Amino acid sequence: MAHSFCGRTPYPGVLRRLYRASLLPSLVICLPGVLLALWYAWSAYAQLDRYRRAVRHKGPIELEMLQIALYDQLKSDLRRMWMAPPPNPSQLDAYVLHLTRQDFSTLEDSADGKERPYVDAKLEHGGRVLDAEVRLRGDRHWHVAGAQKSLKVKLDKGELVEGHRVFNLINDPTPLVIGEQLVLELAREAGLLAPVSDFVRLKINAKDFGVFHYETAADESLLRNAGRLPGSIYESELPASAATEELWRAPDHWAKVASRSDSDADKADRRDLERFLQQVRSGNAREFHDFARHELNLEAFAELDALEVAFGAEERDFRENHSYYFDPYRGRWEPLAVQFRGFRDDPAFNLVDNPVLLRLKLDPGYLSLRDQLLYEFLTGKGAPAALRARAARLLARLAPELATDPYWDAYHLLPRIDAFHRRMVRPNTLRRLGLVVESEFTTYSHRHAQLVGELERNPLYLDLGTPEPVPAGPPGPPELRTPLRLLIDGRAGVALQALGLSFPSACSDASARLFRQGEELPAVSGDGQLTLKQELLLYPSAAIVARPDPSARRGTVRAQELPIDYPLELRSRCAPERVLARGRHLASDARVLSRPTPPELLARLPVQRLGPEQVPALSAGEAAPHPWQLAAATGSSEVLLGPGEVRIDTSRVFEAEQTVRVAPGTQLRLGPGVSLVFLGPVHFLGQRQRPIVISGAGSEPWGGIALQGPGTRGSEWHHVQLHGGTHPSFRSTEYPALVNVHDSSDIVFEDCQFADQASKLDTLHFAYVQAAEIRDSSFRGSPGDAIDLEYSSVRLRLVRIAGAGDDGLDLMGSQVKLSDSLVIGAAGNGISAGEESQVDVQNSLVADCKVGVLAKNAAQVALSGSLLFRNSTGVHTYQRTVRYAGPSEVSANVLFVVGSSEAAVDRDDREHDTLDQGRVLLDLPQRGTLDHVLEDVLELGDWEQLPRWLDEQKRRAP
Amino acid sequence: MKTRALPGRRWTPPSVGFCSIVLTYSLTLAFFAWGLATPPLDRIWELRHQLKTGTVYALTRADRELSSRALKRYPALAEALLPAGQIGIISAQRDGWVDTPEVTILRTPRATHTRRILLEVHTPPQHLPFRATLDGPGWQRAIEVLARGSLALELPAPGIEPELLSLKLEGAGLRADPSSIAVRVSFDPPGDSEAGATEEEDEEQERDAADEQARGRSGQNVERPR
Repeated sequence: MAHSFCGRTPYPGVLRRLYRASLLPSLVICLPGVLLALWYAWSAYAQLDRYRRAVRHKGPIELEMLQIALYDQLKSDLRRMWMAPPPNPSQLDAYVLHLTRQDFSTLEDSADGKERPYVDAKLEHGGRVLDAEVRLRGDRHWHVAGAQKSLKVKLDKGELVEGHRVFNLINDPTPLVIGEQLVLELAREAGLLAPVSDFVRLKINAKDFGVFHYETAADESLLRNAGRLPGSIYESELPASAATEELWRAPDHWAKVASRSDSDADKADRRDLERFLQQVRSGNAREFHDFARHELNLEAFAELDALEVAFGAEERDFRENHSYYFDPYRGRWEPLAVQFRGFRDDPAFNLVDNPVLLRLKLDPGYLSLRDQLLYEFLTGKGAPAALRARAARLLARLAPELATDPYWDAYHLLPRIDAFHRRMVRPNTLRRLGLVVESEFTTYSHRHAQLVGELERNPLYLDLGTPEPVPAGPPGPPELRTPLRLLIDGRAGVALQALGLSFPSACSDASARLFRQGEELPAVSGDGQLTLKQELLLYPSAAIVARPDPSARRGTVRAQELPIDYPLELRSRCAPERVLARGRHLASDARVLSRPTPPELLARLPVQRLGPEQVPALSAGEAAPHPWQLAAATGSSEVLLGPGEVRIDTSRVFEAEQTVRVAPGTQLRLGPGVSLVFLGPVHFLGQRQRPIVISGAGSEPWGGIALQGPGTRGSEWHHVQLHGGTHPSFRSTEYPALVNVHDSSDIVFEDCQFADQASKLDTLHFAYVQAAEIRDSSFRGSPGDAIDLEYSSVRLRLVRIAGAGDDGLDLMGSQVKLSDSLVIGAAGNGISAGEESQVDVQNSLVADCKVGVLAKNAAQVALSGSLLFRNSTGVHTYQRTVRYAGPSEVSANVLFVVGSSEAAVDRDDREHDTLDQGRVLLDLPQRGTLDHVLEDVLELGDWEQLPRWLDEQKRRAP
Repeated sequence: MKTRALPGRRWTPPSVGFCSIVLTYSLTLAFFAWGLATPPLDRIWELRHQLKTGTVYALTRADRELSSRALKRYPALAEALLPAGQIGIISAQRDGWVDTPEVTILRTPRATHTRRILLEVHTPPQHLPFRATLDGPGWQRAIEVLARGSLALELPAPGIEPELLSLKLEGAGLRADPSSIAVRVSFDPPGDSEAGATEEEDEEQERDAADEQARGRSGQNVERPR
């Protein structure tokens, strides 16, 4: 029978019993509530304590912090309770790691230790399962303390994901989430070497670990994927215990993460870095100016600097985050854009300097270049609206993923009371993300407005002196000379274009002449106008000043803009009453007019500047050398060599401003080891009847020839014969061949004959050359590769290669069209196409080589109307995926592969290789097929004559 | 009519057990309610961003009290909220040009040099005149702005605790739009509103301290690189 409070329902009975419950059962009833509360309290405390121990915080745990931890815990649990499943299909690349229980434990346990051991794993990605090794990455608590741990993944040798073998999956703790990705994207678009990055979704053993930031390592794969040749990459690695100076004194604290080759010698060779550091540390102003012009990729340095200024980044300081690549064929250093942590505001352009940046800023022209790129960025992709649109696109893709990320957290979600509060990692939400995005873009907008305002400021001032008579002027009425000082005070410089002159009305001759250091500047003058024929560049200047907030990382000094004066002299028949300078703003490209110089500006001019032979100590008070003190550009000039015999006894370097013409019939006789290096255009103007001959002056071999840099664009070689020679040497650039063309375009070789080479090197080497053409040229007895093309696009027609110590044509990352050509007797491959090369071979013969055509590393070769004759192996294709993903392919409509001693077609059996050879015919063509090759290229009447003809050709080649 | 008294239902006090259940669950609920209440520092973090972006510009009474309590409890918080120095605007502004008709100013007890708040008025004529009121804890200054030009509001000496001041610009047509307001707020003399560590600098100091410690352990000196 039901008893009740009111005697009717069973519940009041229960309540009554509860009302009258004795202590023991009541305690049992209380237990779940108590346990739940205790569990949450303990859990919040434990989390806080873990964090406290991770950051070595000594203070007590305050109640307010405990409440924050409890709040976070409860909110996280509630969020997870209502969380939707991850979007399916996900907009992000999915990575799944499979680890054994033991390996997973090892990985987790390593969070507390100093060692970060790799454990074996299987990586599932894009429908493939790959063997990999995984370890924890990073030391900070946000990388290793939470459920989401930053990981470094290394695939087995030969395996690649998106072209990379090593990559990081980072638990990015920034509340903005997309900040680093935005800047890295912009860096890559600007052509900087920056890691490939994106957001990915990670599962470990089928458990969703949420969204990670994928970033590739700075290694050789990064170089190859960015179209750079393998070379040294150095990363600063200064231990906390080392003094800052040690980083810049010797290469000991730099890790070499990539090298020219995998050989131990290359890995250990640090001469390039030693030279770099020596120049930064102790090169005098003139030496560094020369070094910067020739051996630094100034555009890349300036571009990275501009991005850092725009975003207020301050990671590349005196001690950390330096990464540089040396391009062996460009012979230039460029920085890697590896870390930004931007979106900061500060009145300074550079929040932090470093020795490299300080040296660059003291070098004339650098700041102007940087500020020009900065202005372009700020008014283009870096305009706040453009950046917001970019961010919105990223967030639209990312938001559904973050909303379903069970472990999404971030630091900087508490006010900056102290580091403990600021770095506490707390759960993040879309609401918080929205707030942070708005806030950071507000900061960016403010910084943007400040930077643009400063960059657009007119820096041009003019100070007119008192005229005095010229002691010995030109015939006619006496001439007056008036000192004229143009001053630049601001971030950007000015390209002076014209002077507006006012003379007294009685003046009959309103023309004038302008002199710089006693030398008249070419100009047109009349009617009160003086227009320069060539713009006169007036760069801004900088000085080193003490930092108000010195520290080991920030250093004790920084660079600051400093007014600079450019003294000129105006000569005229009448005394000018007023002079107005007109020019072009070097950052904004806007027209600027000079203003009279206020006395305060004159007072700010430095009393003393560094001299060209002085080594900056990078200490406060030093002012950059005056640009006119350093070797100025000489202006364009022409150099004519020949005709007749021209003996050259020492190596010559022709600067970028010099155009060299070599007359028909010239015989260039080069002394032992003597090389010719052209940094500007060279025109070898030989004629069929009057060829140019380059050879040694005596029996000793001469050096080689290099066309180096974009200044050589449009160079041409007509009817040139080369005999002997080894290879050139110039600065740190690597020259692997007798003739080297690097980093150029629109190059023509016509009717050039290479023979009797004196070294065991390649004959003709192109690297980073676009739109080149080699036609009607012959290569006899090349000791190495006859033609070596790397990251170049070249058309070859009527090229005859007879005898090569290695490959006839060695291609890497190049686009090549070969037609009507012969490759005979190469000890290696007739045509070796590697590293994503695309080769089109038409109407050509490859004979008596070890391998006729080799395709490897995702190369594609298309053959048409061609014959592979008497090679050991006709076609060989295989895939080496050490650096390149994707199949290699050889295709042909009809391919004649005749007389192969080992195999007509030898294909790698790996499953991803394909060989689409079309029809392979194993006998010589019938009449009517390939007649063009037979009659016009080989000049034979019958295919039966081919073996004998080939033997004859090989006999001729040494 | 006679009535018979029914046997009385006398109130019986709850058992100790019942009391303990009620107490325990009340405490548990209170615990969770406390745990789920927005922590003051969390709200202040949110407010900071809302003020900076102009999403919020008039602090509610609750937010003002919460902020004042937190400022009192954490002496470092005031400097953390200030963009620089010891006095400054923490609501939406750029270089002193305010974005909103109510401006929140924070000043620490160390802002002893700042005597006046200067208003540089470039307000479009159609929005003139307007009234500028500066509110502080227990004091108020007001001024009628009739024309463009520079005006000053005297500041009393700072108290012993950080203070939130509120500058209200009230007039027809004034809205949360810098072009409609066109007023620049600055401090006179400016020393107190300049410099100050950023959060990155704080972090750096911490990293430097760790490095110094490491160098100290290895017996090496810190030298300035050449």
